[in-house]
Amino acid sequence: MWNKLCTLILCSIIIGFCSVNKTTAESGKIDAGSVGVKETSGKFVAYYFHGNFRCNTCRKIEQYSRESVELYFSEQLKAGDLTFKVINTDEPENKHFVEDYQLYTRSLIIAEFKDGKQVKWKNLAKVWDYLNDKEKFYEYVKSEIQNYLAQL
Amino acid sequence: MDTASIPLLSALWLGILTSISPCPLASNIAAVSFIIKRVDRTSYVLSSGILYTLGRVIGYTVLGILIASSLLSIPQTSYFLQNYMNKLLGPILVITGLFLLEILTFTSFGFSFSQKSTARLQDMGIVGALPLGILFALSFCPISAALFFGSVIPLSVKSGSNIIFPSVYGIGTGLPVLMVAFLITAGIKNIGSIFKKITLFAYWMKKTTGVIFMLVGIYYVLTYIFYLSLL
Repeated sequence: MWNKLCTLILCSIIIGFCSVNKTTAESGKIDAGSVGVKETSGKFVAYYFHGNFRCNTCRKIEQYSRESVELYFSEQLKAGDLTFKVINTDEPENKHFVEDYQLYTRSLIIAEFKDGKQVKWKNLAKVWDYLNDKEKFYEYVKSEIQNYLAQL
Repeated sequence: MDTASIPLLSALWLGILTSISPCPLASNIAAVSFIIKRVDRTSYVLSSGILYTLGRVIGYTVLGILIASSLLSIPQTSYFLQNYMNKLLGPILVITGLFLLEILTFTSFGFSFSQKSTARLQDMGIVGALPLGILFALSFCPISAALFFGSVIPLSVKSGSNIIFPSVYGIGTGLPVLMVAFLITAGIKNIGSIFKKITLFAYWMKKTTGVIFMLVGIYYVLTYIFYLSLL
């Protein structure tokens, strides 16, 4: 009986491993805005990068980032000067973002484009420091993006 | 916290912060249960606790050295460890759980041991705390990756010391686990001595550790291989 149980558990694990790639591709389709760095149409892009594994803390960073961008930059969003994109870096076509922006975890990046080409970018790494203070988080994102948009 | 004035304390604090964040909760539960497996012998709890922390220290320090010497790039290493170590962790924990519950034994694979050798092998079980520490340290989740690659490594590079900062961070990640392990050990010993049944408690603790390893392993399989949001 125990041997059967062990075999069953081990088989489930092996099947799990084999289905990883399939699952990755399927889950990636849900919310990925797969747009390459050079293909973007807006002048400024705020990217939130995540992977297939979505932890609660990471969802909170995404939520706060989206909320603060929508709260303080609604005009620029409407005008198309600023775009907020959520990208899954575990999708094969998005893997290049990891090297492009030297990502090491879930991150919020602000990037500036001119004539379709990226001219500069910044990792707003302190989003991790202000996780437990929504107002400070909002203020941080606001001031960092404002510095970029000041050139508009 | 001002990371410039007291960098070493910052590294320690970052380690504690990593350990008490919700992300590594499941692996911490497994670590605590492994450390207190031989609850009847304080010296075993102490040794496995130290070995577990040492394992974490080794994991982070080796990684820190490899990154500082440019043998590994931060983005590639971080994403590789986040993507693959956690996938590996689930099956390893399930199999270890099966061994702890003695559902799987070395004899199932054709090995045979004398009674004396089996007892020695069980005694050596505490040494398992070292690879467990290394394995858990390298199984990065988004929070630990943010703190280690985003704060500890820059601190380390800034100070020019590639060993001390990752080591202190490793100690920090082990401290909360050690504290909880010792509190539970003290509690069980007190209850055990009241009822004069510490040996019975120790017997069940080993079984409980096996069950916890299996459950945590299944949690890792579901979360990191099937991407189910369980917590």
